[in-house]
Amino acid sequence: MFKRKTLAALTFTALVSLTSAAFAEDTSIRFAWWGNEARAANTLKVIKLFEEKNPGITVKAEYSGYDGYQTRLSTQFAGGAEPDIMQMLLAWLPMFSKNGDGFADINKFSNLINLEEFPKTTLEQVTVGGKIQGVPIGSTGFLFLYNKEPWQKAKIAYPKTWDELFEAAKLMRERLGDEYYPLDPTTQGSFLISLSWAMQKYNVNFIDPDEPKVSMNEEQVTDWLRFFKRLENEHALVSIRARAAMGGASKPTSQMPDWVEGKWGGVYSQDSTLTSRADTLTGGLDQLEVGPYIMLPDAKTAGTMSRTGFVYSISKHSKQPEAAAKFINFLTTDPEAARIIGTARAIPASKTQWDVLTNENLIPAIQKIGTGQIMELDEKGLVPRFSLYFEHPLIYKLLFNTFEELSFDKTTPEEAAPKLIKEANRILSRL
Amino acid sequence: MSSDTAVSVMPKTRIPSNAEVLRTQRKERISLALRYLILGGVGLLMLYPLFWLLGASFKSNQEIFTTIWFLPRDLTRLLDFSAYYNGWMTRTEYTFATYFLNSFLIVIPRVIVTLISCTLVAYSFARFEYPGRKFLFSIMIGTMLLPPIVLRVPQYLMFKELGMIDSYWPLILPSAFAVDTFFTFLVVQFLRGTPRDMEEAAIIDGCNALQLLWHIVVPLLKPALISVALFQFIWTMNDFIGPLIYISTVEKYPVSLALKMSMDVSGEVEWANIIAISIVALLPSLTVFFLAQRYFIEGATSSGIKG
Amino acid sequence: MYESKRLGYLFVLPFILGILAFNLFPFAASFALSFTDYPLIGSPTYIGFENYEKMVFDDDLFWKSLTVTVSFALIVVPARLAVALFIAQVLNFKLRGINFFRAAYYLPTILGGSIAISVMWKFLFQQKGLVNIILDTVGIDPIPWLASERYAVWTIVALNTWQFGAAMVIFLAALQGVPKSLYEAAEIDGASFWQQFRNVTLPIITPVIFFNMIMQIVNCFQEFNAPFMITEGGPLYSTYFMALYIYDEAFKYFNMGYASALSWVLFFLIVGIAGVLFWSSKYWVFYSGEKERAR
Repeated sequence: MFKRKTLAALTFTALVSLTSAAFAEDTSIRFAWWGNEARAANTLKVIKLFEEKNPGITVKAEYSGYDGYQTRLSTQFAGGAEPDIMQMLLAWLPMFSKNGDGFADINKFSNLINLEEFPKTTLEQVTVGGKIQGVPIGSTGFLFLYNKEPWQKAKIAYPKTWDELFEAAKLMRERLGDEYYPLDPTTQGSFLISLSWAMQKYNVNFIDPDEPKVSMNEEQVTDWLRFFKRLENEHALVSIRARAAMGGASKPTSQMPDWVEGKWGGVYSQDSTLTSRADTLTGGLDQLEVGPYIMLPDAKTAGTMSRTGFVYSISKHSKQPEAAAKFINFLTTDPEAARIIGTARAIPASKTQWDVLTNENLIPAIQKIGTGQIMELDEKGLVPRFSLYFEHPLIYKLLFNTFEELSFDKTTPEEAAPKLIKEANRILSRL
Repeated sequence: MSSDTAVSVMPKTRIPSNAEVLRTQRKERISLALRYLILGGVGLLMLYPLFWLLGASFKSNQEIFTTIWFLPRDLTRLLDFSAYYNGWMTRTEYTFATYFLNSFLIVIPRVIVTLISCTLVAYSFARFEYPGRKFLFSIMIGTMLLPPIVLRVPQYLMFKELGMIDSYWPLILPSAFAVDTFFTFLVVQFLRGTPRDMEEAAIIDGCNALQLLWHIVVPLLKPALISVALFQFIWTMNDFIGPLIYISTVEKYPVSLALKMSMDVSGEVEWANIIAISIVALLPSLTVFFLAQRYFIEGATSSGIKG
Repeated sequence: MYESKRLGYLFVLPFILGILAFNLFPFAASFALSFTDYPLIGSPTYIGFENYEKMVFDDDLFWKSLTVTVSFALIVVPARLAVALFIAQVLNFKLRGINFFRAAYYLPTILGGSIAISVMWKFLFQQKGLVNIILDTVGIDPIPWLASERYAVWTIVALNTWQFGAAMVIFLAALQGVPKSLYEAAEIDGASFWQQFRNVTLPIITPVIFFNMIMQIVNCFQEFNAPFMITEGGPLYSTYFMALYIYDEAFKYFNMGYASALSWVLFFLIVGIAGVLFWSSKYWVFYSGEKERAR
């Protein structure tokens, strides 16, 4: 009896002292991200380093897989219990932060986060209603990534113009067989490749980057859709329908048997996910090459979509926003952090980190080439601006449905174009 | 091997002639062969995908996505268990030992409280007469008819008010109050289908309600209760969305959450590891199934007591 | 003793408390939300019946997914019940190796919604997958399962039928409860296997058949995992089940109000079906433990 009492008393005092100690000197921030184990392992190392350098701040890591991440986050949001720092997909920003009031405004912490590190255009993309809603993690653009094998086998050079692409499609089919395609568009790519062409031709984006409305006219949209049909019909792209038959329209390229077996000549890919395409190739990264960006002669823009894929946002309910800002700054701009994380999250958007990775050869050569290509296009002013709403889930859904129906011959470009404009405007007007 | 019904029953009726015995024996052999043929055929159909998965844990990425045959091309790979080792160790702070322990911390209490609460409530529904019983019963059925997706946010808000976020309480506590309708309803149906003779005899002998429940009703319900325990175990083990919403500290993650992390495909993926660890994750449920199965058979052989 | 009202209430008390504590608020809240515009971030605004009006008059997708869901249930409920009952019956004999077969048949169910399943299932049903190879050997042209509005749903039906184990285990448990003496008596009367099944087994397990039927209907109308993992609702929304639609509206497009309205419509639909079944059960479900009719 006596023993039990003392034990209880002891435990109680121990608990009290522990908790009070914790409250006394520790600032604790919660940090949520999704990703694979490699990303988790590297990020945990960076957290440790940060905690060593900033005694008094503890970072509680709340990592998980991508599946369900957004569901959990939105539930926490509804309860006002979201983490202090969260990794967010750019596409979610207009959902979580309609008028720029969803997250803490990063501008307020410009003394803690070195915003000079990031390209102006990238920051512009993450600004909603004049408030910066997140710190860009990486920048990524779409490019033409090829698997050498079928091109060498068919003795065809990578296309530089759209006409050459159609020619290559014809030759590849003749020389290697019906199952051979020069390009797999992936899900999003089906509309992005053709949009790239339409923008090269008309130098206008589908959605106005400055205000939420469609800026292409009906004729231009019709042309865009027609060009998509032509790409599919002339065997330049693996069609949405064919992809579906091979396991679902949104099945990743690297899991497609025909990609693994070297029947697909390439993929319209973001430079940040470039290396993962080699996962299932026998030759690994050595089998991949970045091709020239396919252009119309005299085009004023390349039409590639380049933006930060995801951002770190700070909760507006955070009690420790300064500590959170400090940590984000460390994570995104510190050279030491760059060395640890490498490209496990993305190609870093900040200048310092990018320089560290390239100068110290911490990224694969092909990655350097790919990202270099996007940067070069950007320097030449050929990377167009995209509206933040272009990737809004509702717009994405609308685009995907339209292109799926086109691919399945449920509609024609002439019929779909006015509908697409009308629907998109309707969605945009409500945002 | 014989089908015991025929052998035990036949002699009691009349003495059969030799030819008849032979004929029955032949008929029996054919029916036996037929039974095995069906069982084996369907069994293969059921199991092939699983063989494929097992084989895939020894394959390279390219092979996983291109071959339908379940064995790896290079059979020596079957000796290489590194996918299992890597999958188990993970590359993060915790190994799957932590995650399995957490799963058990959720699953075991939950199974126990489910068994107790749903037996009591089902007993009340199936055996007692009182005003409002039908109404309560229909409320119970009603609760499972609303898609749970829309209940998540309100439930989260509620548990947040109760201060139970990031603990196992939201996952276990409701089960202690028989709100897992599936199980209560299941036990009710079993009980309603079970004759009352034995209970009536016991009542005459002066058993009180709890004695009756424990000594008579629970033994009768054994097969049903075993299935309740089995399902609750497996479903809780596999449950992803519950822990996802309520648990945010990685140290407290159960297996189902940790698995999704191993399976995250952002970045380079070693598919063999993913498949290996998801096979390992099945082992507890499998073990429980084999344990439970013994009781089904026991139920079968001792069912003569009833009736 | 069973007439004691107090004891009855005492035993049902946990449930009453549970309902009040854990279900009342979420249910009331989601019902109330169905009359609002609730973008999850921020607070709900009352909009009356607008959600319901939109659904009925201005939402093709609602009708599409309702049709998909109902026709799916019409196929899967009977299929799963029949397969589960048949296999349970076959497995309810003392055969050598029966344990192995029981486990084999239950294994797919344990796997549940693991990602490994989604990888494998797509693999089985893709253009050059195992299913088409088998069809080819028996002389049927390959079918583009996952790219066909007509056939895509069958990949989900197949997955659901493959995972019939839960219903099977429940049937198996019920079959244990059939007194052996009844079979012996039937045997003496010279009843065939089929007659025994029809006249002895079937009536005794009707309560459990009824249970499985209700549960399968509930499951089918709330089917989420399989289409989410395998077809993602496509192609062309041909496998866009109600639960998927509700999930998308709630957590992808942040229309929690609309998602709630969809859920309550689905709720009343299932209530209607369940109601009819409960009413009909008077005529075909035999409760031997029920006083009035058993003796």
